[in-house]
Amino acid sequence: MPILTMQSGGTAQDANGQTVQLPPAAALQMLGPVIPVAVTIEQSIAQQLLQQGTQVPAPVSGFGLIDTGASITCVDEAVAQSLGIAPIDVVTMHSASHTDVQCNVYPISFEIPSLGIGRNVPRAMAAALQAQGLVILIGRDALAACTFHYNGFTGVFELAI
Amino acid sequence: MLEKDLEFFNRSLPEWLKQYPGKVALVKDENLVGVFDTDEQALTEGARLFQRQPFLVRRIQPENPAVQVPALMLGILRANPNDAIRGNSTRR
Repeated sequence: MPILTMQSGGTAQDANGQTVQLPPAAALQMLGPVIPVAVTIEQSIAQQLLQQGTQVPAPVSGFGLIDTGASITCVDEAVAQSLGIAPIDVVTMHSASHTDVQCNVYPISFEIPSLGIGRNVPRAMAAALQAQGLVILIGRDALAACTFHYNGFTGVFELAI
Repeated sequence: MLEKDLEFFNRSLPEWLKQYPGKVALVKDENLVGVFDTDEQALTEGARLFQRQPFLVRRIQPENPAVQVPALMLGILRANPNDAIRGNSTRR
């Protein structure tokens, strides 16, 4: 099982306006476990389109946040739309304001380029993630067949997929 | 986009729960195209028949499972690697 080992890093400004390097532990706490990913359409749809001679759009690269609090994987809606796929369902998400929010569901897959493998996600909920610099939130549906280690002391996390 | 097919699904659900409990329905233009064991099978058939046109894929069960994404529900997501605190993750 391939293992992705990542160490968080980053910079911040101190009280004097100087840019300082963040220790890995602080960077991981601030940013969370973020990994580079490439998002594309769900694999069985991609295979069908290819068999029919239809071109499959190029993957969209960006960052994915591993979110063990999320029951399902979320994809940025603009990214899903740029892949040229239509939503296949709608789910209801309860928000902090107690207003139910209807969210589209898209069939996607994502790859971790440095490992050359990824996960098929037939049902990913659409959300506005671009403001956070993310293309996906990797939820527990995608993590169901993974091992994830989070070491807050060292600022290192590992994903075996 | 899927409103009519969702209404059709909800209208048909009581009957489908008796006939196809636990299966995944593929619905297009207010027709039940087929029922399948997995989402992937329904997506394959949907893409084969309708390419990129919209179609509905939903499991036949009494209620849809609750979606829990606290970071979005509470509006507390903060992970921008390009934000004021500039961050990155490097492979070790």
